[in-house]
Amino acid sequence: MSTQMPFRENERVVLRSRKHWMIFARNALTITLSLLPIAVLYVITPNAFTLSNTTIAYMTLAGSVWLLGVWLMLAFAWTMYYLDVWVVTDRCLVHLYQEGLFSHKESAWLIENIQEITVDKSNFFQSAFDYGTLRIRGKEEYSVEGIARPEDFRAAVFQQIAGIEELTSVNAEQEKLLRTISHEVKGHLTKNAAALSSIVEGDYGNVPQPLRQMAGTALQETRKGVDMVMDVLSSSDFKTGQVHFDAKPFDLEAAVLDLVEELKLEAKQKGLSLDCFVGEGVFMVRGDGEKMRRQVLRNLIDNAIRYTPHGFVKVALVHVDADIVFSVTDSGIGISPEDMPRLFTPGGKGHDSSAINPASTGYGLSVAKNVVDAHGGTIWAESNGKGAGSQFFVMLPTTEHAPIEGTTSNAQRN
Amino acid sequence: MRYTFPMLAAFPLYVIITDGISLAALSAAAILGGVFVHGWFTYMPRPVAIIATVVYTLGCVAILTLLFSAQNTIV
Repeated sequence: MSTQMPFRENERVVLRSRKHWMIFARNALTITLSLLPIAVLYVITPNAFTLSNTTIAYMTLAGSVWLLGVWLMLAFAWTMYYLDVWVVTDRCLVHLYQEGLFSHKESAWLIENIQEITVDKSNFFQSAFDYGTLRIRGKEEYSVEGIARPEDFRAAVFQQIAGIEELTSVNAEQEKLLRTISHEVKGHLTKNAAALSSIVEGDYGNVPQPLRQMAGTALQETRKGVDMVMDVLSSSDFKTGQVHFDAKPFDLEAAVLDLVEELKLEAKQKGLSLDCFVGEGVFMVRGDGEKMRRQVLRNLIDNAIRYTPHGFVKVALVHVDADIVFSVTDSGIGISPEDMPRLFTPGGKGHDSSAINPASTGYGLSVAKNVVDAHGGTIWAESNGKGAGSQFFVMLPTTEHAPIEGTTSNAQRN
Repeated sequence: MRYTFPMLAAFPLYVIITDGISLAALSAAAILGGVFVHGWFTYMPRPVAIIATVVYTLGCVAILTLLFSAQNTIV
């Protein structure tokens, strides 16, 4: 089996199979039979004619060259046979094979795209030695001859398809449950927040200062809880395509400055500096200002503060050609190359993020990406690795280039 | 004199048939062997690649020995 398996991380290999040894035996026999004329010549000629030693030497010379050719062809045939491998994993059907001496190829099909597999054993040898032709029908048809134990192979593929269908169904159920629970929790938290806010804002008259302070802290924590639940709900909405966006022009600069002011206290409490730089020009964007503010801008600045133990957080807003670029730079824990690919995926958390932020759901950046995508923008992160800080960028088109229109239901993502 | 040209023409043929064939065979076995061994050690488990290399080499050595002995007899 290849040492350079193309399978993805966490992909489980269920079955490996190659062509039946009879296929190699048949090819080897055909190649070896080409020695027959030489062998016959060796047996007949010395008996029929009187040959000199030199003539016999010439015959041996020619025969050994022939033999070498056969030997090289056998080595070639065996290499082709051995490197032709079919692998069933829990997600894919992979064919690894050799085309000539120098070209190693790999083809893969997603298991769920396979609709039908038929097994054809068309002669005595195929039935007796248990091998045959597999015809795989999916988006296109593919057939492979001489595969060993074809029924086992087919059963393994079908077993994986059944597993994926079951998993999809369970996932849908869990998603539904998560959404119901999140919705309920959000209701309770919102009521709590309203009650606490009333106390803090003096709706119940003058309350003792310690009580007001405690209510304020409780309100802050409750709002964080609401944000967290909203992230989970939003992620679920994006998956099911139930997100609606306003399409109004809004001032990104005002939103950024407002958020920086709002989060400055939090940064100060951690001993961090939070600075903001706004470049020249107007920063008007068309889209959903509230979602952009809460689920993108706030999320990124808040994350930078959370994942920076000491040092600084710098926010910048500038024009780059026809786009607006918002960036958050921090001197925090950084992002390892392993964590980088799953950063913007639902539930995708960094390896060390739970230790620093146990309440992280891992949905924040995924939601931010969905919102930015819906506004025709791009979000990405850069980091030189662990402990080297990180930079998050959001590039958005300005008002006249913004693609978002009216109230939009977002297509299914991820 | 009339045999000079055919003899001159036959000489390279003689070299090709004897030394040339042996060297060409040796080169082919070595070059293709290099390609095979590279492929085996890249895509196959190490024990399989080692066994394949040993079997291939032994086969080539046996055939080339036969070829060289025939060539020596001719020369």
